[in-house]
Amino acid sequence: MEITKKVDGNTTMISLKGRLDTITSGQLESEMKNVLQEGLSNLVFDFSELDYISSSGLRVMLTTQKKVDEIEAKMKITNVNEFVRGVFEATGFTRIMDLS
Amino acid sequence: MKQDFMKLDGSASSTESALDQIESLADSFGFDSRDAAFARLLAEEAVNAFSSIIGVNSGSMWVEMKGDGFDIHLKSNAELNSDNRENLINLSKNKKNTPKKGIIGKLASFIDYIASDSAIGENPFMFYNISDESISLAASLLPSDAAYWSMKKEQKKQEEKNELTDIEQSIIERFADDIIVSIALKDIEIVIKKIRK
Repeated sequence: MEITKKVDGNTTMISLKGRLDTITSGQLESEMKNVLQEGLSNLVFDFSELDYISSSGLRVMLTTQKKVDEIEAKMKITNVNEFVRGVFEATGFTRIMDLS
Repeated sequence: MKQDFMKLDGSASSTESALDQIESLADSFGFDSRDAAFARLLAEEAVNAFSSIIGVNSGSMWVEMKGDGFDIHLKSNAELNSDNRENLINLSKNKKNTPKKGIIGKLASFIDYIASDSAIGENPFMFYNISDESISLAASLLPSDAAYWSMKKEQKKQEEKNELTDIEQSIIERFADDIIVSIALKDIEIVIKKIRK
């Protein structure tokens, strides 16, 4: 999985490419640790090139959402494909995360 | 069509290789990319569920392709305590330990039933009579503050673990058409069935 980070003012954009699963979720987890330590007020994930997500990927997203809530910042997930959206919906994550 | 056994040893490489094989088999069987991704997802979540419910990372996996879909088989060998056993059976759609086909499978499941705690738990002749002395003894055994906070911490850890296990189970329950659990002594097998839509 490829992770790209762009910072524009108060907004941090994280783009993911490939699969977010048991094998790659640790990679995103450590990246998010660094991003959250730096501080932010808006976090946007671009999933346009994310093909696949499993429960391990959702865990990292859930942990990130909780930390973002703790620092009273905002988090949004954009450009979600049909497969990935299906997995978010199946687990009820669409109720706690902002997907567009 | 039955695929060769894929060995899982708990390493990331063995899991990734098994999942890659399942996805490419689904692809060669004529599944579109979305259904092939669902085959991969169900296999991954089955491996995760095995690991989180019974603490086992090793075993074997194979796929049987059928005219209308596929079955993912995940097999392992482990000694289960009554909680793990119950949690694993709860993963199945019928909430039952389904004996494997054939007389040997049925016999093994019967022996397993006799040997398991469930046979004792269902004994209708077992009564408990709680006396006043027992209640006052229980009150004196209430935990100290330190023990209480340690218990709370453990409880929180357990809740977090349950929350994560729930995610895997939600995915399997939502996308699998059937989930069969077979436990016969130390032999554990999960079969996840997916019908091609």
